[in-house]
Amino acid sequence: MSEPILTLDKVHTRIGRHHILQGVDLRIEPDRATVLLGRNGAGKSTTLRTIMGLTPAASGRITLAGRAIGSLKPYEIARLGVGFVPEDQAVIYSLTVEENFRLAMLAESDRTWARMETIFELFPDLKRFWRARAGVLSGGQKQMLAIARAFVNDHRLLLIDEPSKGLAPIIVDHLIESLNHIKDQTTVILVEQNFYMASRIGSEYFILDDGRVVHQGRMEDLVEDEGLKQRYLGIA
Amino acid sequence: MSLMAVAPEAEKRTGPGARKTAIWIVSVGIWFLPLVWIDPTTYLVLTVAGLAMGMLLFLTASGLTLIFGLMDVLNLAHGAFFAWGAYVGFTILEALNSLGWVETGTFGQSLLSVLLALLAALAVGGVLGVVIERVIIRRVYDNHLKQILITMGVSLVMAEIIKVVWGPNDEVTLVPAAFMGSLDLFDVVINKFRLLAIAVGGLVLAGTFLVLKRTKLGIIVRAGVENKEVVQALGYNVKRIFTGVFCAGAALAAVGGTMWAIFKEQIHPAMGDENLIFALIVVIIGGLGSVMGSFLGAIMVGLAFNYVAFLVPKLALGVNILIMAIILLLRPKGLLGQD
Repeated sequence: MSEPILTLDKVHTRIGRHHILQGVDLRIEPDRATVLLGRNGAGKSTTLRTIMGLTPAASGRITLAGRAIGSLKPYEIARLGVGFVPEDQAVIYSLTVEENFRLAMLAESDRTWARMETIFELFPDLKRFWRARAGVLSGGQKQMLAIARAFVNDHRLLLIDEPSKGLAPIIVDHLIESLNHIKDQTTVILVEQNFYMASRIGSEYFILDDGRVVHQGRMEDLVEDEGLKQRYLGIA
Repeated sequence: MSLMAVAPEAEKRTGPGARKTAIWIVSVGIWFLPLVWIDPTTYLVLTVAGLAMGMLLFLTASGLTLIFGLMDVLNLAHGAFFAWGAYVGFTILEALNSLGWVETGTFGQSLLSVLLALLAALAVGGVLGVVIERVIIRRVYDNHLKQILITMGVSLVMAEIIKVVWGPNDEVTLVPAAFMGSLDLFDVVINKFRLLAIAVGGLVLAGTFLVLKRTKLGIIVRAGVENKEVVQALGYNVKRIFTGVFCAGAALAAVGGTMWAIFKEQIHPAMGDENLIFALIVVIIGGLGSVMGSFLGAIMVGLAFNYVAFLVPKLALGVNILIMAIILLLRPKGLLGQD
């Protein structure tokens, strides 16, 4: 087994008086797409925010490629090569599409601009609306921009939170295609309620329930396991 | 239907028609209506005076609107930075005068005197801004009531320190020789320092726009205003950026203070509070957070004040409030304010 790119060891996170993560253990293998599944309130998004340092862990250990990152600030974690796409399409509305990309580029090198060519192939409409303010884009476009913006840097780990939320099925299909391309180039952790999407992108999965990992394995096994899906995800 | 069609409701949000119409009506009215009652030569003299006053107001208001718009901080200590700038500029001019540079100097020495006074004010304002943001303001982000109370307290303390250091009495500010008196251009008498004020204001406007709209730093700052969390997650230290914005705003106020001190040829410890009221009116007219709005607001106030002071002197002070009331009735967000 290869060295994990990210580990969480007995991580506890509190938000106010609420004890959200209650000892989460994760081991994320590199160059794969791992999906975090679970019902609403299970702690999936909080897990991503804790990894990113936005909702710091109260206790436990988080390592990125062997380095402890639990006490680092979000901007320091980002500088170590972790990209984050929040669940609320957090593009900057007052900036143009171009400015959103320039904002995301930690170094505006030739290599970064070369990646833009790939991005334009994946999301051609972003090129079309290059000079438009992000606030006037449709919901699907904003989600594309948020994902593409995280992909513009040479990240070693991408955290993507519910990219399909609120999107029409036709846009979800386009998103699946794009994310499958992205996962071939970097390690992805995806939080997703839409099992159709999760199963078409992830190769590994972790199921969270009440702030703990209750099951993990290979996605192809979960697709076949109706009992497990019914028990933890509420789908038959 | 295109998969990526632009959301129609979003298009409506951006509609600039009403905003532009309001700006044009008020701006054109203030510029040209006085020509009905004032002869063209006097009108030109008053216009230059109004532009100069507007540019000086803009210097202070631009810092205030930057700090509010970008950091969501109501900084009532802004006038204190202005007053400190005035006193620092006054001190530098006094020191340079003892070298014979100010009242009797050459054009180069006069220009250098003003530049050194402005640079000193910029530096002192900037350092004070950094200290106050780090020690005090940082603790009250996201709480407007606490911001108002604490910045009022800071303002009082800074004004009292001025009295301790420079004394409580009014002081006369020296005007460098090259900027004393007036030029006569085709019967239009133009005060020399007012031309310099217009040039400095124009440079600050251009510089601010260049940084905010054309640089990576400007993009980061504008993004930080809208969503601090995303900007942090993209790899930027938002706290440090906000300290920089506060520093820049305070430095601009201090520069405005030095220019105002030379313009009015006198300073006093309470001048910060008096100017803060003007700056607040300008920022409200322009729209909170908009640098261009502040510029338009400052020019409007400067011009209207001078025209009305000539036509109906007793109404000169009230005209600023009147403009603010009209603009707020037409457009409650101010000329260029955002939702």
